[in-house]
Amino acid sequence: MRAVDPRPSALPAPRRSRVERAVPAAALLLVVLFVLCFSALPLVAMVAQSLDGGLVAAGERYASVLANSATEIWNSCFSGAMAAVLATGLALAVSLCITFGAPRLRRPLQVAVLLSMASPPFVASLAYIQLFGKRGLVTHGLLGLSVSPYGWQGVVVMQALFFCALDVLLLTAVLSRIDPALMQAARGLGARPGRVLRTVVLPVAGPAILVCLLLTFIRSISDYGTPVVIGGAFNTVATQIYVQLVGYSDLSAVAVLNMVLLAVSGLVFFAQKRLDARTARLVEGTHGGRADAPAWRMAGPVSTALHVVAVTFGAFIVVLYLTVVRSAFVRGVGAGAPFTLENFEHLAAYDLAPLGRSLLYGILAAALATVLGAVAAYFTARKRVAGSRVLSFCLSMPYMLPGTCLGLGFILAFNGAWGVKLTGGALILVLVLATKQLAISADAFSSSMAQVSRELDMAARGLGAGEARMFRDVIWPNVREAAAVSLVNGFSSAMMSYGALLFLVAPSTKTAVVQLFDALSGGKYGNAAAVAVVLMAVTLVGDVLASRISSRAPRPGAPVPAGTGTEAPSADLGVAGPTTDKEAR
Amino acid sequence: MSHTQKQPALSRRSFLLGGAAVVAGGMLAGCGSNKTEGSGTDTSGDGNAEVDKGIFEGLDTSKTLNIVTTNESYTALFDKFTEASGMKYEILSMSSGEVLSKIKAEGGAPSADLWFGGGIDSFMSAADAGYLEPVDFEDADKFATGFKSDDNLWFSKGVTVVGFIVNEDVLKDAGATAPKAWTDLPDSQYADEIVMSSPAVSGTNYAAVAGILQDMGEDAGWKLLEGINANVPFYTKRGSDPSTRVSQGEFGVGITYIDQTLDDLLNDSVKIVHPSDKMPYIPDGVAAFKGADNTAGAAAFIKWLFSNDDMLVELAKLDKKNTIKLCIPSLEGVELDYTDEDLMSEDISEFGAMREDVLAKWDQVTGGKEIKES
Repeated sequence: MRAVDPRPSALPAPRRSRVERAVPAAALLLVVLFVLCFSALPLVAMVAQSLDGGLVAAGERYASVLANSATEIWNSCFSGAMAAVLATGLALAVSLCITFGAPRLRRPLQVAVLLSMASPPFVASLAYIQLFGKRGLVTHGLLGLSVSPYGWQGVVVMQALFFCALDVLLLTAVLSRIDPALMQAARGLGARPGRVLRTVVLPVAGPAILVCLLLTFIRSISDYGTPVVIGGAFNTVATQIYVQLVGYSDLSAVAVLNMVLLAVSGLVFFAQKRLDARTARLVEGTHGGRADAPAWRMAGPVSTALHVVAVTFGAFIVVLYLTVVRSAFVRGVGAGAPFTLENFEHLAAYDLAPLGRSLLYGILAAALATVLGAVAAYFTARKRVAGSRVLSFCLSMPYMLPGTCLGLGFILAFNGAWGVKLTGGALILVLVLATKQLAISADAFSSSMAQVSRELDMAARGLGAGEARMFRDVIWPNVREAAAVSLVNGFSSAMMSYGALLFLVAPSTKTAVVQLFDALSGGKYGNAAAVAVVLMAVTLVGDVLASRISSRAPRPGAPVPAGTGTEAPSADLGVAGPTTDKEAR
Repeated sequence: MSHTQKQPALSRRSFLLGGAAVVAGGMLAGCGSNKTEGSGTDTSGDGNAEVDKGIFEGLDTSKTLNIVTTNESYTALFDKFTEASGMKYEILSMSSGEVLSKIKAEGGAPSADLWFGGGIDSFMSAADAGYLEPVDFEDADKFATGFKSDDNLWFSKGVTVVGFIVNEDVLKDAGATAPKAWTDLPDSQYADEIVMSSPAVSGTNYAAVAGILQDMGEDAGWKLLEGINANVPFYTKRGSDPSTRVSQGEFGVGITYIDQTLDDLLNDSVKIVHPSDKMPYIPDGVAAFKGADNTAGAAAFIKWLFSNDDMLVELAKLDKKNTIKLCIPSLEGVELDYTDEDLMSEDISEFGAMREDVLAKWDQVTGGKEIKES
């Protein structure tokens, strides 16, 4: 480790005092205002809607909705828990293989993960039916079976497959930061590889695993696309919300059902926070490995099993995607459909403007969510300012609601009735997309920041660094992976978002996914698949560019003019040096 | 041009009283409104230009016409509107249930101007809730009774009929033959082979249920629906599911709207069946939203479309059906494709009022496959 640079030029004290104290205050204020306006207000609008017509009417409404939805609530919790466990297990296997597995598999697995993140809604479920339905290419074509693919099993499997991608990103970010010396030490003390995983790796990844379980559960119970397409008679709260919206236009009943979902999610959220607080201590002190430490590799039967799971996952995703790509290049459906390019001609004629809009909204929303998420995590998870819990709950709430309902909350809050009219424009779309993903950004940053030793803060402070500077020089170099996770997730989900936009898009602001859904509803599989293919390609490119951030670290030791401190943060403060050394590898 | 001549009066229940009678009546009306042939006393081309001029006078064409529609195949018609008026347009596809929820949530400040297509029961609900703008124009008189609202809040641009889509390969595997009539469907050979979307979600399938009840009577109607229910494993939540699932080979028989969007799905084994014991139908609505940015543009579009026979013929071509002639019997240049020989006897005006009861009973009958909240 390099010696701490004692030169006074590295501590521009006079300039710091005013500006560097104002910046964090302004940043905190901005996040609080944003969360109040765009996370809390739509929820307030939703609560107001659920109480519409006075307390007596509202009480009756709550009672009757709850009484009628017992089965759906149970179904939601059941499939949500199953999907969460399955997705997290899958994600753990895949991310362990990416981080500690066979190096040859690393890239292909990462590509499979990015592919599954860039999955348009409905399309994968339809591909599932094409593969495993009564006339499925696999079940009927290969195996000669005729089985019904509808039911909770399909829902759980598909949700696990596609929700696990985000978990993989979160877990990989955490696992890759574990100091290999820990594993080496355990091995040196005679622990077998499986035991190393169980006693060293898993405890360190504990908080991230909890976050994954929570996020997947919440995503699962608020997802209506999958159960609507392949659930069959299996109804969840989210599908009931959809039916109420489309079939009965009963906004108040919809609002009540949302409160139910929110209550369930809220319970899980607080349970996770409690558990998280207990495990958090374990993580401190695992801030990155030494540059000269050899990478640790898994071995043994456990490793083999994990590799089998990871490769199966990758293969499954690839097959599903090939099915979609095939649909884009053929006319009609079925095994004998002829090749055609007309789907792409149709796309060029109708869908280019919506694609451009998707791209623009996606970039803006991802950037906004990442910046706000980083700041929010810094103040809630790192600084633990007063009211941190409330703030982090508020910013997580939009994620707990089904997209349609967040959209509904936005429309109710910003339709002009309360003085602000944003409906009909593009701004509200960017805002809703950013708000929805803010929870993921904040969580990703919190997990990463938890791994940065607090002593670093004190060291930096002792050297005279101000708050903004500390964020830039100590925190930021250590949360680059989190920034990548946040950008990739924000961009992918914005590009693929349908539910949240359903009620907010106007004819002049419709996005590519809206076009895709439209084509699907009209039975035009080919057109839908073509939009899906282009959308996936664009999203993948965006994701790859965004994920570059995590690997593009400033070169340590590069000559930096003293006092400027714009780049090469580690050289300035010295302490964070080893971390960036490792990342620059 | 004189379009003041009233349509031959048809009572609400019997406005389909004999296809021949309607066609004959339409021809009479057509003759009376001197728009018979291109060689008539008034050349229709000039007439249209004049009509257009009057309609578009004072219109702010710098505004865009924002349209919610059922599918994008109508762009050719909207292009013609842009050509005639100079006003650009943007379209967005939404199901009528979604439109209704959205309008409610927008609280009187709709983000769309024109609503083009969708089950008429949603238009009726929107009209009752005060979300629609009346559009008065001379040619509004041309509509047959029941195909526009009394106070010109909505108009019909045709009707959607409900029938079957069948996959003969799948049926053959199941040892069944394609059904020809509604009354064939309860047969046990179709066990688990029938797919239908929930009438709560799908306007056309609500029309199917309501039409069957009105045409066959409550008792016989519910008995038939119970019989069909025995062969339906579950009800899907999107109106397009039955046709797409049948074409994918997931089911043998789908109960579906029959329109031009199904064409892509058909092949040697996937076919449309028009049930021999008549088809339920539901008018397709058009309306201008009240309080929108460009309500005037939407009103101008409605006037332009319905005052302009060439455009209505164009619309029929895009729709690949001539049911516009049911709405405007005087329309020349299209032949009716369905008569009351083909269509169930319905009282559309009751569709809105009976909906709640029908869906509640539906819920009981289908027991557990479909669950409805208060």
